[in-house]
Amino acid sequence: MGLTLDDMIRVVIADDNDAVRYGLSVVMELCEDMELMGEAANGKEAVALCEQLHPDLVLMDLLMPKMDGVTATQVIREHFPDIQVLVLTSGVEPEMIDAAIEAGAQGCLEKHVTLEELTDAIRAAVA
Amino acid sequence: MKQIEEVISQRERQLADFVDNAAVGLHWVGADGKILWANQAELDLLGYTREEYIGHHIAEFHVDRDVIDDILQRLTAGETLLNCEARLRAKNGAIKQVLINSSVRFENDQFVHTRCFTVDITERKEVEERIVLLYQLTAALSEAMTPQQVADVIMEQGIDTLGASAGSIVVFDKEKANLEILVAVGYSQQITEVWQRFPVHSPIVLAESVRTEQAIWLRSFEELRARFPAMGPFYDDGEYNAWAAIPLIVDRRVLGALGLSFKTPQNFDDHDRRFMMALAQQCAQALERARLSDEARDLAVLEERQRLARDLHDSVSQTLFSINTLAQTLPRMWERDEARALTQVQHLITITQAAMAEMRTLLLELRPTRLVQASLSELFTQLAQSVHARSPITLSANVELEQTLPEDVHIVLYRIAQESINNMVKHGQATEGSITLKAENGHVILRIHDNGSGFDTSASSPGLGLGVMRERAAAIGATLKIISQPGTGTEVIVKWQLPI
Repeated sequence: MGLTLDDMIRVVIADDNDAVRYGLSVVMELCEDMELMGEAANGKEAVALCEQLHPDLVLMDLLMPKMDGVTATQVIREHFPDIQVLVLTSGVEPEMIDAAIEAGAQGCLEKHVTLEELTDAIRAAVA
Repeated sequence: MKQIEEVISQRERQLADFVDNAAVGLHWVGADGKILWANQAELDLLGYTREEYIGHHIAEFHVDRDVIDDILQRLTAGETLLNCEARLRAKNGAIKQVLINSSVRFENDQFVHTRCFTVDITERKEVEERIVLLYQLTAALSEAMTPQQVADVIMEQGIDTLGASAGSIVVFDKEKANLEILVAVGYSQQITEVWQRFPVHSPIVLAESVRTEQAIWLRSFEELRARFPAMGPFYDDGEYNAWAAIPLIVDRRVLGALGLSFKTPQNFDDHDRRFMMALAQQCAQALERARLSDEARDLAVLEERQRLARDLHDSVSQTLFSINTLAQTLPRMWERDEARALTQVQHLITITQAAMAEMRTLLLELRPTRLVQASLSELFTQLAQSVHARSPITLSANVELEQTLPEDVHIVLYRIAQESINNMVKHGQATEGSITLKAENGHVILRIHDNGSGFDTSASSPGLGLGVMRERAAAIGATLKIISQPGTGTEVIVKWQLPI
């Protein structure tokens, strides 16, 4: 493989659902150009992981306890403008999606995307 | 002598004038019950001529035979009657409510005649009856939940008291352009079919009452024909001869109108009008209450749907996303690492089962009867299984209970377990937990335990729904105890005494 560590897309997953995080972690494991840096179960943890690990991108759920995805996006984009945020949601909350984009998220994916759409969107967000 | 005679004669004339022209009805009845004499006021009260009244038995003019029999019997016995209520029949068929004051003139123990004073209290009685009716109506209306029930109560109670022979209530339809009959009583099928639904601009009395927000009183067929020519052909059979239409208004909004039809021409005096307006007001308020309670019900249904949508989003749709992702990655994982792929398949099976358990749990919310039919053992196993879908907690369920619990206890125990587990998953950072239910020393004890982060039970804990759990427990007479400290996990214990 010609990829160096610098070419890897370093990802943090923020989702309060354990099964969702597990599924995404397997995807990260299989994508040779991606590396899973850490998993957050709420917005607060996501912010903390960003500060600690400086990933390239956060896959962000919106409805989470303690701090929701919109607020977390805002904090991350304000303090770490190099970190991209890609919202991954099940589309029940259109107002929150708008708010997340407003807060600086790169884009939004619905949770019924295919694997290719998901990985393509991650690559496009950091390109 | 002559002077004395003159004085006496003058006194007699004065006395005769006094009784003949008094404003109160006066009469004498002989020992045989026949009327010997009556003054003009008495004749006017009932509308008879002197010939039609005097010489007739007094009982002929009473509506209630037992009442006059009792009066005569008591008078014969020498009793003086004060404010004795009776009902007399006037010549035109109308019934007069009267108060009778009477005593007998005896001479040498012989019954000569009664001295009877008759006071007309018809109007006062009517007002009294109507006040009683309005009270009854208010009570009946407070139990009427739907507009239809309100309309039925008004019709049932209103028509009789008013002496109307038919009545209807019309209300606006949803578009507010038409009025439609909510209830119609006493009208012919032809009339109710024609006026089942009509535009609010129709040239008919109910529509005009709604448009002008004014009551309309039509005292005769002539008045109806003059003001509402279009209605003439429907009513020229003489079936009805007076009409009243009163708008139904609440908070300055017109809901519709109350209509009443009378067989005979009516005067619609002040009392009548005020009573009908009061009836319409009661009707309008009750209709508005019924509408608001309908709306509240709709809103509750809507909220319930939104909650289900949220729950679906929180649970099943997330789990399905995970299943989908894992399934899509499986072929590549297989190529790379068969052992890992097998683990992944195992994981897929677990969360698929968890998704099904979540789905069953949600379906229970849609079919509450199923919640009661299922055993707590089944329900708790399902709850424990569904947790695997969203968290890494290993949750066991253990039910050792032979007794069948009352429905409300069954439901409360399920709800408390459900809420405790939600807290465990969302806030507790636990890895292991258990639900146990057993009977111990005459008590049913439910324990929900986890090894998570715990919390300070003395501090207020918003978002955990502990207040609701306590209320639920209190509702079945159970005690609820929460044992937890930061860092030590949480245990919720519900204790319900078994009936002896």
